[in-house]
Amino acid sequence: MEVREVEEVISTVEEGAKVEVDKWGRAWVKISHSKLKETLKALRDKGYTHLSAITGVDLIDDNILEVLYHLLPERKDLPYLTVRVTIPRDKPVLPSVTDLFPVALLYEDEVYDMLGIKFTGHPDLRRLFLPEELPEGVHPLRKDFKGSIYKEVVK
Amino acid sequence: MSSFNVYIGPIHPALKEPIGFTFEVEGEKIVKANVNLGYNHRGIEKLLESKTWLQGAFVAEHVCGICSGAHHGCYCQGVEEVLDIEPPKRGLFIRTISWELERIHSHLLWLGVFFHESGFDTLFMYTWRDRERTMDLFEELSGRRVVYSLSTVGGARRDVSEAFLSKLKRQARYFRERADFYERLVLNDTTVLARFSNVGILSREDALALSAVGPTARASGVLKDVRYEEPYGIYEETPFRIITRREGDALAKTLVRIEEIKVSAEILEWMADHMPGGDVKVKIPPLAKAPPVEVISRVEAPRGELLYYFKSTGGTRPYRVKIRTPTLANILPIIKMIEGGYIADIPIVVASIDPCIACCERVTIVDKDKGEKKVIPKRELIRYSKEWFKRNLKELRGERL
Repeated sequence: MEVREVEEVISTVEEGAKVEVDKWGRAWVKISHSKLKETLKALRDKGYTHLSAITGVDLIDDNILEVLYHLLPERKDLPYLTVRVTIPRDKPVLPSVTDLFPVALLYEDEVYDMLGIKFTGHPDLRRLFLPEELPEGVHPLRKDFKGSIYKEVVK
Repeated sequence: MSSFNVYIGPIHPALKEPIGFTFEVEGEKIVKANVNLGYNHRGIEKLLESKTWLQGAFVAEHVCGICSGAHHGCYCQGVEEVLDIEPPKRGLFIRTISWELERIHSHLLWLGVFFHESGFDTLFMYTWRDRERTMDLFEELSGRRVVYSLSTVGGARRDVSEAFLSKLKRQARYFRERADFYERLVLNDTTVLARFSNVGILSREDALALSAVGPTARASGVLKDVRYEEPYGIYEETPFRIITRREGDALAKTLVRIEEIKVSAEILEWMADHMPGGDVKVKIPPLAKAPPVEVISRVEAPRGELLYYFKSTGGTRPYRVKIRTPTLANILPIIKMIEGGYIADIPIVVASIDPCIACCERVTIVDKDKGEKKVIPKRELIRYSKEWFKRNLKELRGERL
């Protein structure tokens, strides 16, 4: 019932998006990355006002990067929702959602730091945890990262 | 009037852990603040990818020293969902005892630090003496005082005795009485009132917009508590109150935490009365195989919502583990609270969210190359510093003029 409500909201932006509910009652939906901002805006207006986290996953076998937006609703009857987008590994660019959720300022920095996904429109995209001296393209949570950042920094 | 930049941190007497702040000040007033993280980085997310499902619990526990029970419990809860195990009820009860006792411990510790920051050292000694009692209880419960690993994948590690439960009840009553005493003290002491009220205000709108979590959000009138939103473990049947206040200043954050000590003590008393019998855990094989599945596990840590995300592609190890700790979500609210305040308020405002930097910075980087050390020659360092200066000259100029 409530899941259908979420599906309706998303289908106004992207047709044919299917919301799946897992065994524990949490909802997951996959959308195309060009519709990310519109979808999140529609969801935020519907009551998903809290962005819990942004997770980046490197699916190296499929040659894609997956980014998950975990959203918490204001109303208790709506399910906990995760919006999933995928982008190619060699062209990792996504629109920034910092204007919708200011907390994404830090979360997007972290995803950029660890997986090298560039967020266009982010006011100050920089490395959050790792040293700033690291060269471009060193992102340790990518599965093909081998070696050590100490070597990269202390030359 | 031109502004001036003040850098505070990473090591500073007012901050317990390494974090750097750049404050842009005009006279005594802060107009802009920025935060620098990354001094305490240990690479836990990457490390977890190389551990088996069971081993990972011990790594997750060491993310934070204060809320180790919440991290450990959250990890175990998630892995139980991944491996499709139903832990026995008694195990869940014991796990929840550790969570609630930890909340009392963490809030008492925070109260002490907070009073210490504001120069009220008598109360600091009082609260830390009471905190000692929670640690004694932990020692009796698990055998350890700090990182107690009481949960385990499949339930709880140790059983509790009837004698312990009655002692727990007695101590819970004591914590409630002490919390009453602190509340009276805070509300009747003019120095405390003058120092805390109207300092570091976070409005309800800002708390919502910045996705603040835990007591920081609740002190601004936002009803956010994972125990209520998505009852996990035994919280569905446990009666408890959620404390919120409207003011959003440092005083409100103090009072919310004091009240939460009472609530946790009430939950402990209820649990001691309603402890079910039976086993405490189901055994799982050390090299348990997981089906390909994605799971989100959330618990209410003492500082707020703690989130673990697991991705399994099948096998004995996770493909990806993501940890989002409450302090990271509360960093932006600090900046919001501090802007417009005074330099002297910095310790109070920063301490008011109960920051745990070790928690906040956990992700990535393991040095896999062993033994190779390199000494940087002096001239190289000088060259580096010159290059760096040239590279950043423009920015530096912009900052200093």
